[in-house]
Amino acid sequence: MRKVAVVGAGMTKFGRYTRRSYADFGAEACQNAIESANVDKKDVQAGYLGSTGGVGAMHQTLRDIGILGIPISRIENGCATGSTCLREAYLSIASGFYDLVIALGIEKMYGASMAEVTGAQTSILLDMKAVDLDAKLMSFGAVSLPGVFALMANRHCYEYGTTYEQIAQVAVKNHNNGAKNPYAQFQQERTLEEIMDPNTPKNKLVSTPLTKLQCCPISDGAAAVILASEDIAKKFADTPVYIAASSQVSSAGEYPTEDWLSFEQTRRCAKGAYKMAGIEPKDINLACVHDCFAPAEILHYEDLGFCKKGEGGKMIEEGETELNARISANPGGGLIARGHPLGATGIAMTAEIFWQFQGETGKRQVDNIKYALQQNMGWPAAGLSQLIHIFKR
Amino acid sequence: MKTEQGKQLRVTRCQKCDKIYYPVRENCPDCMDDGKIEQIPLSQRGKLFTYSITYIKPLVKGIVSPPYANGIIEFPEGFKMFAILIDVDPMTDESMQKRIGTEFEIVSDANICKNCKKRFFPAVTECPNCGSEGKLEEIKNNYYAFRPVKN
Repeated sequence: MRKVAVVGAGMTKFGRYTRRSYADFGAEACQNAIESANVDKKDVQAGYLGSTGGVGAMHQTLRDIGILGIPISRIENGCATGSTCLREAYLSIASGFYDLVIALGIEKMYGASMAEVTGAQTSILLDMKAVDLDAKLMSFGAVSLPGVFALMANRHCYEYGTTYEQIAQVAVKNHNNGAKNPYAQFQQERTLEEIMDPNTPKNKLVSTPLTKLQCCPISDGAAAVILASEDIAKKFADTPVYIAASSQVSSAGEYPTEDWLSFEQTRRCAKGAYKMAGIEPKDINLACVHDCFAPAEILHYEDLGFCKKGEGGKMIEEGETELNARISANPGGGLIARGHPLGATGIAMTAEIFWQFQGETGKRQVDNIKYALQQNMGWPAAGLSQLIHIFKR
Repeated sequence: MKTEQGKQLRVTRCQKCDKIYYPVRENCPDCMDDGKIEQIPLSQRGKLFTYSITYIKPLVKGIVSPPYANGIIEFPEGFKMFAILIDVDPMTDESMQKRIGTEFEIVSDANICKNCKKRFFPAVTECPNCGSEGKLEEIKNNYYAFRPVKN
């Protein structure tokens, strides 16, 4: 396996843009990435797209920006689509097949239902006469996506004494970090009271203990990164950011968790990632974790080994994951504030980590980064996909 | 075995590793059981493992409307499954927290009032619209919910 580095990154601001096309988003993210690495478009050897709904989006994008005649593939893996796309692009260089590739994540979500965006609508329609859908739907039919994390949150409170305030504190931190990120969908600082009170403007109860401000929004947007083999990486970036580990775990259970307190898949995936990078959790001081809903971040702290099981609530309360504390968690605002255009999220995490290593992130800059980790998970309507990547200078 | 609460939920159990699966399966994905999988009726009662009070529409329409309580029920077989919770007034976090660990039973009967054509799940003993005028008739129902066991 060859060493692979991230040498460029580009992104669009996340938000609601119903009048922008997939190709429009893709072109902005790709152009920015290509310019930041000063890459000659003729040298890009392959394109990897992460998008659950953007069929053909990269073909259109690359045509519009004048990259023609290279292989293009679309990758789908629920909310972990972006990181899965990164991994496939990484493997294509690590294997020795290519030297320079572009990975693009795009999603448009406003104007369609979640089931339509993820393709679940189609698979349910086509499976209707083939499987017992009543039983299948009943096993998850009345739970919502935030509901899964709400159920886990309440068990975590029962088992470990985690409080609703600690859970809400995750959202406070991520909104406050988002306020420092020009690409974030929400760039407004929030107080604990604003996050917890469902009766304040722009807030409401979703699934107790979650209010809307503790949930990621639906989003439109794109992010792109350029990956290069070690031999040529220095040509494009002063500080190439090497991928020290790429780890993936997929499980097939009906529910995403068995104990409703943690994700066994994250622990297994993290073990593989730390082993591949030859490091321990204590070596990480920057982490982009999958905070789709506030309690998720607390569960991830525990499953990633940042703290002991049951102490995630205490970890956020004591400020250990604030900007430039022990581990800067989600300095870009995470999914909660930066936004969560499914296929773009994993790539946006990588872009954030790349810019952080370049020292280009202004007020949200993390100092003296040792190792950075990105964790991205998805539930592609069945089973769970978990991806962890570790980066170093 | 049909109880007075209605039809029983059938699950599959692997005779080799004892794991339970719902919806029913033809094999055990954990140990590829060599055909030793059986369908068994699940216990009618289980304990509430966790809950949430939900204010948004469920993915499947028509079962409940928000706000509603949902949770995870842990059965004596060791199996946990998602559940819609009914008859849990007052529906507050404080009262729901106290229900963790308490027994809930399955409810699956539904009926229709022939007079006003309104459908009821769970089944009612008298139509709330038509009173004694309404004639109630049992209808097919594929959904179920759980309610607290009264002591």
